[in-house]
Amino acid sequence: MRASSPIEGVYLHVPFCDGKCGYCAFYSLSGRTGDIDDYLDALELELEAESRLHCYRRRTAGSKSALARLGAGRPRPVDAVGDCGTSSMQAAVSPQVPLAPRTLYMGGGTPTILTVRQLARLCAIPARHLDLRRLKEWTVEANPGTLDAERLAVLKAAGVNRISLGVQSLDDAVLARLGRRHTAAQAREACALIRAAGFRNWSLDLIGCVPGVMARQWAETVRAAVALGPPHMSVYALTSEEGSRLAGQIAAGDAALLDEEGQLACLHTAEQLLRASGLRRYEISNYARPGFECRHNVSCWRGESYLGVGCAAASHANHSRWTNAPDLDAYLQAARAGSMPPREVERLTPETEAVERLIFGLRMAEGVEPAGILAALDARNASLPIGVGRRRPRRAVTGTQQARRGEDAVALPGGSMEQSALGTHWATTFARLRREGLVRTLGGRRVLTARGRDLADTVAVELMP
Amino acid sequence: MRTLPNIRNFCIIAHIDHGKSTLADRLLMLTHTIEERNFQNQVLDSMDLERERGITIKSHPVTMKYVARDGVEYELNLLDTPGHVDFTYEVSRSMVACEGALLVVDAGQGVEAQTVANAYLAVENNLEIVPVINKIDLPSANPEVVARQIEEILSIPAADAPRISAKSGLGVADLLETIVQRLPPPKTRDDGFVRALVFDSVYDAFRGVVVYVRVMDGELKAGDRVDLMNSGLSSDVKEVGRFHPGMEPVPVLKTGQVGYLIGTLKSAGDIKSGDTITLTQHPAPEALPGMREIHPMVFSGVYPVNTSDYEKLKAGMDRLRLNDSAFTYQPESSVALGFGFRCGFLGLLHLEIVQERLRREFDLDVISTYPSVVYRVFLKDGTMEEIDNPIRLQDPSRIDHLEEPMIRAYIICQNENIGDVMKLVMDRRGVMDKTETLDGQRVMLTCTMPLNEILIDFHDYLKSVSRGYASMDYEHTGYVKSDLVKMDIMLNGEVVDAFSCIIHKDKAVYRGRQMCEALKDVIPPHMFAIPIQAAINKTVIARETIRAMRKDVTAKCYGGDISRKRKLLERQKEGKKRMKEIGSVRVPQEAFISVLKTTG
Repeated sequence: MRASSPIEGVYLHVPFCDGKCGYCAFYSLSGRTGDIDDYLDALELELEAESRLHCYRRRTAGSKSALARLGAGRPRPVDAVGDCGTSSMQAAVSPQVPLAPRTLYMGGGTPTILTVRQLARLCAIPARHLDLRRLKEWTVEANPGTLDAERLAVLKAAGVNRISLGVQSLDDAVLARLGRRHTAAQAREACALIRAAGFRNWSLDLIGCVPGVMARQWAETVRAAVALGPPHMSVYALTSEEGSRLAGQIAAGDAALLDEEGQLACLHTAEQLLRASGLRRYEISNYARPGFECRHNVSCWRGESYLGVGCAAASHANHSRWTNAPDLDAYLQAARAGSMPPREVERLTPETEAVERLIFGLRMAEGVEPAGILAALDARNASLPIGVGRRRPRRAVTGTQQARRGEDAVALPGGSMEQSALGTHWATTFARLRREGLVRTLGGRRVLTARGRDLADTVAVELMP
Repeated sequence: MRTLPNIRNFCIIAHIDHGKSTLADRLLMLTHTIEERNFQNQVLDSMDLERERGITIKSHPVTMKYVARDGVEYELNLLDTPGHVDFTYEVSRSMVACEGALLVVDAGQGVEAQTVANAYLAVENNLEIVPVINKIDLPSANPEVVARQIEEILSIPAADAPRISAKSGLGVADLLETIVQRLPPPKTRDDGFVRALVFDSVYDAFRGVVVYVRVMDGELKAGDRVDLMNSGLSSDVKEVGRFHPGMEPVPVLKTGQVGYLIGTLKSAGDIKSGDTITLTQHPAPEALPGMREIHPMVFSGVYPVNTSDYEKLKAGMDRLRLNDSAFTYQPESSVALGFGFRCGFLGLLHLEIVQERLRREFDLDVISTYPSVVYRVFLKDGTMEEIDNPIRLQDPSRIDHLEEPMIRAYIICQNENIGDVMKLVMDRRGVMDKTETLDGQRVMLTCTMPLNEILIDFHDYLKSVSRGYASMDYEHTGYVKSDLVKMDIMLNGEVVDAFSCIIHKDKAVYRGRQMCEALKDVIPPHMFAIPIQAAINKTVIARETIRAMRKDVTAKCYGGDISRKRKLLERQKEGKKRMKEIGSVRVPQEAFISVLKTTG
């Protein structure tokens, strides 16, 4: 029996912004700053309920009647996480284990548009409901123009040890085109403030592949960003996200994205310049000096559990993914009514979970170990009754054969992949991807090549069953 | 010979949309064969597909009782017929069971190509033709001109042609009188033998094979033991009946009447239209003159998109075949597409309808290969073989020459489009035989063309160069020697047999380029470059390359984005699964359609 993994990260969403960028499709609101205090109350209520539920889950075997008892105080949809307990809880034995994340992440929106007082309130919430003794990394997202020494001091005092700064460009014309509401000078100033406040670990985001930006201009932006000294950088291509203003303009023929060749050139330029300055590409769009990788995100990509709290926040735990409804009013309303926010829940079948671990893990430089993922899949399958998201084995096998197969997979990680339909598919697909120069083998691990990183989505689609 | 004065057997022939089905509906109502309250448009078109597309595919006989103004009750047997050229054989099948035909012409549109083709067919079958000018209540109606066209083009007297509006009923009561007065009654030899002509058969899931018959001599009744003289089958007669318009049993089917017979026959495929039914005990000395056997003219491979649907496809085809004896199929396999069937159709519309019925009635997604006609291949050793699949073409070194089937096409168009239409015909290797003026505005072109030139998109182009006005019909005129070659399409170096076609040498380069371009547009980039080549006898004559995909999306992918991202990728995966894997290349279904489209 395999217990679900403990919650490694907690995410708190702050959906407020001082405006909407053209490319943005995230749930963020401008002009609702009057709701911030109520929102912080609601956020705390949800975190409290989740952490109590978590304690409860860790403590008991999770029968439905017990769940109902707990639910009397704070009703939550049973299908959200509740019924996941049946198979996975038996191994959880230790009493009174509170939620003790290794990482905290406060993102948005723009958390730094909160007033100094509100920011202090926000930062005080986690300690009241979480055990922070294991905490290694606490990130807060910030935008230039909203960050000052006072706010940075509040963050520092609360225990925040990492700032992620949304710079996007160091060219005023490009910033304006992207719909950003700050200048390059403000971005430089914010970087200086972060360093002055004593933050060693911080990140700078850039958006590349903006049409109309010359190759030399882009290279200058990247060099200038490197010169600001961030130990971590994220570089994204400008993409058309459903629901963004940009997507609308593209549909109407008023805007276009850069062509394939232009995008490649742009991202390759960034990679070369960043590598030269000691920033290693540890994920498709993320670069860091060794030791400065974002633990929170790495944990998500490795398929570990995380809890997202707040309007529109997403979570992954107990073989489920759920996302709170992107609706501030509904979120506040639920809190006033003492109930959990409306959310969409997806129960992950063992196979889906295995596929997720493979394709998102593969986005990282460390790659994946398919045999280990398959072994975990076998183990979870063995703990599930047939029919509960578990498929019957495709080939007819005897009980002994099946048992032996399971043992082999667990006992010999890195051994043969070809023990299940999924394993066979992966083995043949990886062999082909290797021939095509997209994936290479490192011991039992599979790692994307440079070309594979350019085609990561295609590689992922090939590996899906 | 004895005449049966109280019976009239007739059909209605018309160009599409000239009001054939509406007139049939109106006749049924006036004779109280159906009551107005039970009325549904196009009563005789029972298939959904027929009603939707406004076309008649199957023949539907119906018997009406009519008391004429002379006080005598007549029995009128109407054999409704399909209008489209693909179903000409259905028309001629019905015609052999009739003595007369109403030739319906739209008073606004005038004589059209199918009017001409169907009128010729009626003349061939020795039918008395009564022209009927319909839609005279339309503002655009010009009955005088139309009457003159009928006389000039078809040489049928039309000065006293009934002028009606089937839609409003105007003149239809008089038309019933005309039918009685001008169409000849059937005659019988009265020689003591029973002869009934089989003109169609359908399969009924509950009752078995229902045979449509016209009794020429003698009578048929339940309990009789009958022989089918040409096929050699025999059967007990379990029931005879008439169409009112539903099937209603009667004790006896009398001389001259049209009706049905249900026997102990199991498969509609056993029954050949044109066969003669006679009594086993007292067989007629000779059969009735048969009818032209139908041969499919257009062939195409039909394959399931999902290879696992093969059995389902076979079952679907078996079922269709029961009611559509013109549709033929036999198993074949393709390197590219796996297991499927080589199917024969009467024409492209027939092909399209069969595909549509497979999709609707059997929930099947199918891919069709490039359509082909039947070519005659004369080998150097003096033998000849007929091939309906380009794959079967022998090595060119063994071939002496090829022959292809020709058609005589009748095209009617507006005067101002004549240049464009002639150019289109000549582009398709056609030769103009005759140009006739219909009236001040329109001409009829008679031309000879290879059948394979009209297979794909000729109708579409004809409509487009004539801004929708031109109409066309054709008849087969036999084979001529032609300079034909087999063209292959190669994807990533491998011949895709489903795209192979036989084509005139002069058109190969042009067509090859078109096909490569079309495929380039619909096949998505892969992780490797894909050459698309057209080749004749291994010599490449056209080439396009689909460049390798070099980059896909690089967007943010944080915790909150993972399920969204996964679902996005799952959708992409579904799309890929719907494609057909040919070698290492994934080919979307549209590719099989796109190669049929050309660009001028």
